[in-house]
Amino acid sequence: MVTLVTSDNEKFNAEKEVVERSVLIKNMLEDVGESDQPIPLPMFLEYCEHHRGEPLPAPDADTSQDDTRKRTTDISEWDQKFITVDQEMLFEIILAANYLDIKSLLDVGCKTVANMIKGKTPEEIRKLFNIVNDFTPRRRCAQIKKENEWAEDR
Amino acid sequence: MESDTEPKKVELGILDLPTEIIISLLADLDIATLMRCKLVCRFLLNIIQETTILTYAIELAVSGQQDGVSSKLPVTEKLTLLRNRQSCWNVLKWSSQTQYPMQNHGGGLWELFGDVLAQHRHDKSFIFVQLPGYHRGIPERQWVVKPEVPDVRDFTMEPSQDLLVILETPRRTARRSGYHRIHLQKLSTGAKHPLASHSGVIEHFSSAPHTSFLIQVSSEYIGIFFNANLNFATNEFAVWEWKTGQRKLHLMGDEFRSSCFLSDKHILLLLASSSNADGGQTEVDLFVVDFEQEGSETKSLMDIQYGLRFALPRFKQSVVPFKFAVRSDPSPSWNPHPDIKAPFHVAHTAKIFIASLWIQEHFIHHLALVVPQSTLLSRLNLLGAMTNNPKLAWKDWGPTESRLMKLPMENRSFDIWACYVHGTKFVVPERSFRSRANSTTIHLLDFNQKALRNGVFRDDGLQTDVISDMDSSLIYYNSSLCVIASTIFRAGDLFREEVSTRLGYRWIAKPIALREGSNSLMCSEDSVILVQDEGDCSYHVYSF
Repeated sequence: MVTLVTSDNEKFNAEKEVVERSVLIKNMLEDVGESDQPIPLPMFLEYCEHHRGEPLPAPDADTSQDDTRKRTTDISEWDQKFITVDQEMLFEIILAANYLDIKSLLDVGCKTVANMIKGKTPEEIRKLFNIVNDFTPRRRCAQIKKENEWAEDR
Repeated sequence: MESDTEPKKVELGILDLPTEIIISLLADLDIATLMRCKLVCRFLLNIIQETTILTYAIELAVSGQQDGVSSKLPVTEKLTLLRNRQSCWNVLKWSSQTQYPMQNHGGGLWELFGDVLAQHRHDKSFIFVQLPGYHRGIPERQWVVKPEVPDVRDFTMEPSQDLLVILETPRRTARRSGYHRIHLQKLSTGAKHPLASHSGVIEHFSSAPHTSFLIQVSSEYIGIFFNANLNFATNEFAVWEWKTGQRKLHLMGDEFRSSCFLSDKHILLLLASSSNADGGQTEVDLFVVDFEQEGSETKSLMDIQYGLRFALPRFKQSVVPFKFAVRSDPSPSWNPHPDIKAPFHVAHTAKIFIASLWIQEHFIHHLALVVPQSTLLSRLNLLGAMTNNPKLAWKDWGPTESRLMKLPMENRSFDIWACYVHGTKFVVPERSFRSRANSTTIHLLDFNQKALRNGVFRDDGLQTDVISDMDSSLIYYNSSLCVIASTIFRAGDLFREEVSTRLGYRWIAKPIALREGSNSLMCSEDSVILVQDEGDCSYHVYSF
């Protein structure tokens, strides 16, 4: 059993086996040894509980060429529900997953964002994420647009 | 990125994520959306232009390739290989040339699939050559297998599944039907294939005799077309699940003229039927059947429920089509064997189908209709939804999404068996008498639409020209053209009405000097292969 503390000082108890999905926590546990010292953490326990028992990724798994990584929307129903949050929360989860080094959660987060972008026009993407169009002059934009035409399916 | 003033609670935005995360979510996008992200803001544009993994994804898409997951080469290296290879193919600059003697002086069986060239020899053994790939780092390898099959009538192989399929010479039974035995063996050793859960032999009775066979493997399935050439027997086509030996589809009828796997569950057939309403004039259609849904009982054309016809333009009265073939390579979801460690390979989506028709009017003409896989797949929602055998009119699919052209008649690629299509590439040989006596010109027509549009835009040394068909006086040797003008057959010239098609392609021509005339041309992932079955019979393999 380990004790985890959130950034707003809430304490949780969790089984070691469950929280080891995070490579960061796994390493921290190894560092502190078998002491009862609490470990700080943001929100992620629920995620790890649900995925209890699933195999952990191999430490040397290469992100760029992972064959299990699919290009499309392959997100399980539970993960889908878990990740249905507002945009800021979604980015918080991605940041936390990145910090805690939980590859599976990071993948779900990235895929969710990718799915939000898919099929949208540049203007729609800007609107969706509140991004400012900083191209000057606009001609440059037209140039790239022309360069891009080959990729559009007709 | 932010200044170090009092941290105001600013809403966290997508651009505040660490760059490696932004890259990772861009890498999850389809290529069209990824390209559109370049237009969102300068920050994203820079990331997309400067990240190797994204550049690699984009260039794979342009060249109709997909990443080889079993290769662990770094992405930077793969990108360099991909670029070098593509620039060599663009000008047909091969790295090496090898000559393999023809084992039976033009008479034997041969096969090319999955970059393996196979020949059957008089002593009943097979000799296989894994063709080398210079840029992809695939070494040449040869091996010999002597399976215990009494008489080989025809064969094919699927290297990624270590599968050799042998059709034994059929025996006639008392009732004059043909008794076929299809052997499933290991390509590496000739032993029974361990994944075949049955005896290793599939048995099939048919009407007889058939004069030629077309055997194809597509992942779990084997398809065999039994061609009687209108000679006493009836044409047949059957699909089996090769591991269980279970039959999935069985079609009988002389309307079926050729076949090819279209997807993991669809088969593409070429149909020729005489129309009663039209004074017996032959109508030619492409015909897609969903073999997963259709059921395994023997069916004639009229009984098919999950089929969709794509009508070809109608010939004028005096034209008689007499020979047919439809081809595409490799099979729909083919991946090379993991042991090959291919850094990349032809994409599953980069595929054309070529329907060849020989027709007679005063002379014999050879027509090729080139159709991208996506043209056919995008219409399959009509399949099974309506009455039996719904039919798409030519005008609803053909003019903008295919290319119908007349090929030079001295081309014999289609008389003897040859594999003239690979991915989106189509190769046609031409004996040329203009430049040098007995030289042969290799014509490579690449129908990769993304590469074409990209090339036309960038104007990378390509000519764009208004030419209408494969009239060789229009292309210079050692040159390349983007053909985007329509090919037009005027009304009354072969067809009843005007036929105009305009699927674009890139056309590259290169002459090679050979002492003897060559006969047919084949194409594979890393090679162009000239088959010379006169003089010193051999296969000339030009490797990239």
